[in-house]
Amino acid sequence: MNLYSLTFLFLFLPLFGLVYYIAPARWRAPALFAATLIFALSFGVEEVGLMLVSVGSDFLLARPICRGGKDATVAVYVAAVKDIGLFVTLSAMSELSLTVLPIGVAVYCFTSLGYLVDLYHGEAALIESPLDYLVFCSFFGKLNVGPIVSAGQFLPQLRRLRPTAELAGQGARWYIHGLAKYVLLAQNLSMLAAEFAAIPYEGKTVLSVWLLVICNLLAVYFTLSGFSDMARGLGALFGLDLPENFHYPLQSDSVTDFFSRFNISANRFVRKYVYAALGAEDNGPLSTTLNIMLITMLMGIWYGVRINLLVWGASLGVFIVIETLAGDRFLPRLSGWMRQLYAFAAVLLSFSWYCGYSLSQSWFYLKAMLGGAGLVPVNEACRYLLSSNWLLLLCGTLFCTRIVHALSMRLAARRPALCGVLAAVFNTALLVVTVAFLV
Amino acid sequence: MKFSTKYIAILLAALLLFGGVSALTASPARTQALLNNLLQTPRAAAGLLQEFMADSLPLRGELRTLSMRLRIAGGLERRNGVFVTENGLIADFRPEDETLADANTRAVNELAAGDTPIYLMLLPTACAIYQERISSGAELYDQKGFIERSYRALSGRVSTVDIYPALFSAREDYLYYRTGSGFTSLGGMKIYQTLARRLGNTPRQLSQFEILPLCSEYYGDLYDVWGYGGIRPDVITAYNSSGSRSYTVTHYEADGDTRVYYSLYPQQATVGGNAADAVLGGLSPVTVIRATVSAGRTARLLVFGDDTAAAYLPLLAQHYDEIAFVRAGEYSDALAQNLDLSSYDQIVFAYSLPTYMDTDEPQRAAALVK
Repeated sequence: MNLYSLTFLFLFLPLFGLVYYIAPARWRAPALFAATLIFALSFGVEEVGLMLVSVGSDFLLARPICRGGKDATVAVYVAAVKDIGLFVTLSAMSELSLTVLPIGVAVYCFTSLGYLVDLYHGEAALIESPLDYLVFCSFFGKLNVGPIVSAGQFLPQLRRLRPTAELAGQGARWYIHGLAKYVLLAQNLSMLAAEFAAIPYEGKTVLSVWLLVICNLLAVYFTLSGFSDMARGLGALFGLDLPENFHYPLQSDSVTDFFSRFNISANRFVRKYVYAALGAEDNGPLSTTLNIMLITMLMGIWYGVRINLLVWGASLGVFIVIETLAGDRFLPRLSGWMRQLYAFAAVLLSFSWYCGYSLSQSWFYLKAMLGGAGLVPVNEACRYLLSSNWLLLLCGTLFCTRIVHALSMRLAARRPALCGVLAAVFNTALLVVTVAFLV
Repeated sequence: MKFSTKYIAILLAALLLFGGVSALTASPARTQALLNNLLQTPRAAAGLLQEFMADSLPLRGELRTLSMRLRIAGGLERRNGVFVTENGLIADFRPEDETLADANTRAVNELAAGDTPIYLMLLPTACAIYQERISSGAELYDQKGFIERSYRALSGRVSTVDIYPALFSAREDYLYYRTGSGFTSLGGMKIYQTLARRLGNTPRQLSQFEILPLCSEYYGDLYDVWGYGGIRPDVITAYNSSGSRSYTVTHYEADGDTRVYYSLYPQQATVGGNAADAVLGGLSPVTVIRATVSAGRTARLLVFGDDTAAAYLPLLAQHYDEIAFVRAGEYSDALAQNLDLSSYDQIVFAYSLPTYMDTDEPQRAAALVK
C-alpha cells in the first residue's frame, strides 16, 4: 500500500481520517502511531520489525546520551554506525538486487540520528514517550522520501494535534498535487525515458540522448517532489506542518542554488551534520573544495549506493566548487535568464551520470549530448517519440517551473473569490484524472 | 478562500469514502476472503486489496476511458510495441528480416511434389488491416507486399489462400480483439468463408449461425503489454450452426495427457482462468475435432498452424468428419502415436505473419509431412 495506491486513497486515508478527527485530542498521537504501524505492515512484517528495532534501539540509546559523559559519546557513535551502516548496507544490497530497500529506512535512520546528535550537543530535549519517538521518526506520510525533520520542528506539533479546516484544505491540495505529480508526470516520464533508453545504440541521436536525460531528470524530480508534497499534504491533513522539500530546483540560477533547493531537508541534514562539522568554508580553498566534494558525493549516494550516483554528486560538486571559489567573477555578469540557462545545462549534463547503468554508458551519453559521439542530430524514431508524447513533455516542463504558481498567486491577489472557485474546480478535476490513471 | 479550502476537504473525504465503501460492498464474499487473508499475510493481502479496489471501484469503466482519451489527446500512440487507438490495442509487427520466412516458403514448396493437396494461408495482423487507425507518422511493415511475394514464390502446385482482401474490405468490423492479437469470432468467420471456398466447400453465411456470448469481459495478451489500462474489454462469442451435428474435441498434450470435450465451445475449459479457452478448450500441440455424424463425404483435414486457428476451426468443422490441428514446434514422437499424418485428404499451412516470419514452425511442419 503506497501513498498513491487506490487502497490508500479510498480506504486507509478516509477511514483513518474519520477515526482521527473523531478521536479526542489526547488520542491523536497514538492514532498516528497505529496508522504508521498499519501502513508499514502492508509492506511486510519484516519491514515493521526492522523499523521497530532500529527506532527502538535509538530510543534506548537516547537515555545514556542525555545523561552525558563518556557513555554519551559511545552511545552516539554506536547510533551513528548502526544508522549509517543499516542504510548503506540495505541500499547497496538493493542496488545488487539482493533485497528490496525497506520502506522509509533512510528517513527513520537519519531523522533518528540527527536527533541523537542534537541531543548529544544539548540542542534537543529527551523524548520520553516511545510512541512519540516512533511517530517523529516514521510518520507514515513521510516514510517514502521525507522530509527529514528535526525534533524541535516536529514534537511541539505532536503535542497539540488540533487540525483546522484551513490546514486540512491546504493539506488536501498538497496531497492532490503530489499525487498528480507522481502518477501523471513522474510515472509516464519514467516510461518515456525507458523508451528513449531502449533505442539501440546505432539508432540513437543527439536529440534522443538529450531527451533521455531530460525525461530522467524530470521523472526523478517529480517522483521526489511528488512524494514530498504528498507527505506535506498528509501532515497538514492531520495537523502537522512539515517543511517544503523541493522549491523549483530546475529554475535555480546556479548549481549551488539548485543544490540548496533539491531535497532541502536532506541537504540541510548533510550540511548541518557533515559540512559544518568539517569546518564548511572556513579553512581555505583546499578544505572548502574537499568539503564540498564530500557533501555532494554524500548527497549522490543518498539516492542509492552506486558508482554512477557518486560520480553524479561529484560532477555537481565540481560546478559548486567553481561557483564558490570563482563564481563572483562570472555569475554576476550574466543576466537572470542566462544564469538559469547555465544552471539548467550544468545540472542536465551532470545528470547524464545519474541516467547510466555504468560509467561507460554515462560517458557515452555525455559525449553524445556534447556532439562528440558521432551521432546524427535527429531521426524518424526520435521525432515519432517526441510527437507522440508532446503533451507529457510540455506539462513536465511547465510544472517544473513556478509559472503556474505565479499566475495563480497573481489571480488570487486580484480576484480572490474567483481564484478560490477555480482552484476548487481544478483540484477536483486533477484528483479525478489522477484516479483515472490509477484504475 | 475559506470556502475553497473547506469545500476541497469535505469533497475529497466524501468522494474517497464513497468510492472505498462502494468497492468493498460490491463483492461481500471477496471482501470476507480478503479479510481472512489480511490477518495471515499482510503484504499479499495488500496486493489483493489493491486489485480488488481497481476491479470494484465505482465508475471504473468511465475512468479508464477518460485516461485513455487523455493519453491519446496527448499524442501517445505506441508503447512497448503496441499502438493504442480509439478502438483498442494493435500490436506493431516488425520482422527482423525475411530470411527465415523465405526458408519456410521453400520448405512448403518442396512438399508440393506429393499427392495430397497443399494449401498455404498467411494471415495478416491487425496492424496491416487496421492501418488507417494508426497515425501516418508510424512506419508500418508492408505485410500485404510480403504475402504477395511469398505466394508468387510458390510453384503452382501449392494452392494459396489470399485472405487479405476479405479482411481488408471488412476493416471497419470487429475482426481482431481490442485487447489481444488474435482474431475475434467475426474475424474467424471472414477467414472461414474464404478458406472453406478455397478448399472446395460451400461456406455458410453469417445469418445461418446462432451467435451466443461466451465471455463479455475478456482481456487479451496485449492488455498487459500495453500496461496503461483504459481499454474496453473484449467479447468472446460462439457461432453455432443450426445443423444436427455434434463434435468431440480431443486434446493431446506434450506430456502425454489427453482431454476430451463434447462441444466446440466447452465452457468448463475456462476454469483455468483463460476465457479464450471456451473456444475448443484452447489449442494443444495436437487438437482433433471429430464429428459424431458424418458430413456425407468422409473428408479429413490436417491444419498446421498457430493460435489464430481457434477463430476459424470451429466453423470449418461442419464441412469435415475430422480436422487435426498440429502445432509443429511442440510435436513429439509420443504425440505421433495418436495421429497418422499421411491419412488426411488436404493439408493447410495456416500461419499468422509473426509465426511465419519469426519462427521455423512451417519448416518443422513440412518436415513432419515429408
